[in-house]
Amino acid sequence: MSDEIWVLAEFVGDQVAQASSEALGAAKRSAEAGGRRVVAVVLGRDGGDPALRSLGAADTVLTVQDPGLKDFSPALHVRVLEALLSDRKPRLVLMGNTAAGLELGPDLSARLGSPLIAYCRNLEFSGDTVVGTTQLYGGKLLLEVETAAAQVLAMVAAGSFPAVTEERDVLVEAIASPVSLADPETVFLGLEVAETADVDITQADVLISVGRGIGDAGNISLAEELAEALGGVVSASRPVVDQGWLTKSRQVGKSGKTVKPKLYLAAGISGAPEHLEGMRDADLIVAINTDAAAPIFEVADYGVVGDCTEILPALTEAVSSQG
Amino acid sequence: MRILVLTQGVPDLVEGLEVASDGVSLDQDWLKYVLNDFDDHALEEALQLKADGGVEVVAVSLETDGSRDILFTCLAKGADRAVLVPGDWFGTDNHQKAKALVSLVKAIAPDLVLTGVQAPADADGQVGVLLAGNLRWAHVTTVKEVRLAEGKATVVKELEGGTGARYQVALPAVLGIQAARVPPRYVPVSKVRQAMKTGQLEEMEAPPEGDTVLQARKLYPPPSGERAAMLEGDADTVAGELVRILREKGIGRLAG
Repeated sequence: MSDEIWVLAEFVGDQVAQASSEALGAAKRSAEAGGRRVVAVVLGRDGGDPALRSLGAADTVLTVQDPGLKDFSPALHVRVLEALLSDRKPRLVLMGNTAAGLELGPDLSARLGSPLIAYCRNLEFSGDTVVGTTQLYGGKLLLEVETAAAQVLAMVAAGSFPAVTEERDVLVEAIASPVSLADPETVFLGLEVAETADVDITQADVLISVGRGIGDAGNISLAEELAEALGGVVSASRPVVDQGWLTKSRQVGKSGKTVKPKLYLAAGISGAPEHLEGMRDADLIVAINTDAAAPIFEVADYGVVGDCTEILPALTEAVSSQG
Repeated sequence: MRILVLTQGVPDLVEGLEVASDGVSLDQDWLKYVLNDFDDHALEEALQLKADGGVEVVAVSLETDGSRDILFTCLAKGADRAVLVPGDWFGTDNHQKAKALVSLVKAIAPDLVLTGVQAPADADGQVGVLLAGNLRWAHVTTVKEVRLAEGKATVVKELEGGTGARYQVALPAVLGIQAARVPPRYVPVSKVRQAMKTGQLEEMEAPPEGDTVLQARKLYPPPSGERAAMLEGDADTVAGELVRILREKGIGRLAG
């Protein structure tokens, strides 16, 4: 059985991505407990690429040098990783629960027959058994699972492990692609040019953020009135944006903006993990939700169990009367 | 061109969730099942492609409480066919579901499978990409737009922070839908009732395959750490208390 723990590394520009630093943190913890080695796996970068220095937290780096892998292509990346994982049989393979990880984890698991722990919040070895904790039902419940499989994959949920970063000249093994990259089933065509935003919610000190609990589009004005009174702007969780009630530029969370205002007032937002990822570092968090068990109350400083369409106007009134 | 939309009934998260006496599964007694929100987006994107022309939409659902209603709703919204996969799929993990669906997908023979990017209980991975892996088909997930031309799909995949990446995808393929290009359509109950009278559900068997790969040990609510200080009282009382707190912290216009 291999003693290697692999981390599938992603970059933002030339720096290791936060999700990958956290996966490295998870890997190091499991490695230290069992005398295992951490290998950061990179696709599409040259062995001499200075960006690999940002993976110094790993014991070694394995990079597949083919420039055809630099842009993420689900089909090509799965092809290469399936070959590498079958050949070298790492014991544990960690990746972020990211846009890329969501393509790689389940496909590799299905192809290789190696179990996958998704939304992984905790991970440890108990003898030869891997014990993991996964987050279910929008963060309302946790499930502890175990598997004695020879190879285990895990997609690490954001914010679950301490990010470990270290800049150093790390030992790099640079190889050519073990498989042909011809005729890919998915071809990267390019990035979309972002729409010019009407407002930059990352710059606001006060965010009045609305979720599904606001009820309908007509009630958005209740949040706008409070934002006006307090000197803030309105933001939203994903369902509100998907409904077309507010523009994408207002979305907070994994697939929206990460914000750190002085006040984040969450109105009718349950606090799914993807949302918390974008706002948990706000200075002061106030949550209003009809469901007392909503996960948003776990990160909020102050909470109100109630209907935000009643509390928001009352709050606007109270703020305005302060003169 | 045929599009299979894979839908699931999932516990309504607005309701309270209780752990069953076995300690590893949900108590089903009071569970209300609703269409997985992301599957609703997958259906909408399929119906948008149908409106673009030349597309047949087949909705498929693994049987749970409420799955017949879900399929009739799909028909009422504009799906051409609705297929129920009978059985008790509650407690079946996604690896088993994906394996079971392989033969069913091959029998329906779609060019494209659309399904929600995720569901509320994907402990062992999201069913769409697992299905693609089992079929050895191409996949792209976290998709927010699909266009079809010349036997290929062009999709926009949503990356962290909301940036879109465009991909060309060879068919057949499985796409995990994050958001349809327009909000999912609303359909009045009267139209669903009409679909129940005039529409038909096909039934196709797909018994679960393979063993559970992850053994569940314990299902439990997250330990309450530093929970929010809860404010009590009517709306005006709570508002007054909040204003006091915001003033104290010097927030926005209440600063100074």
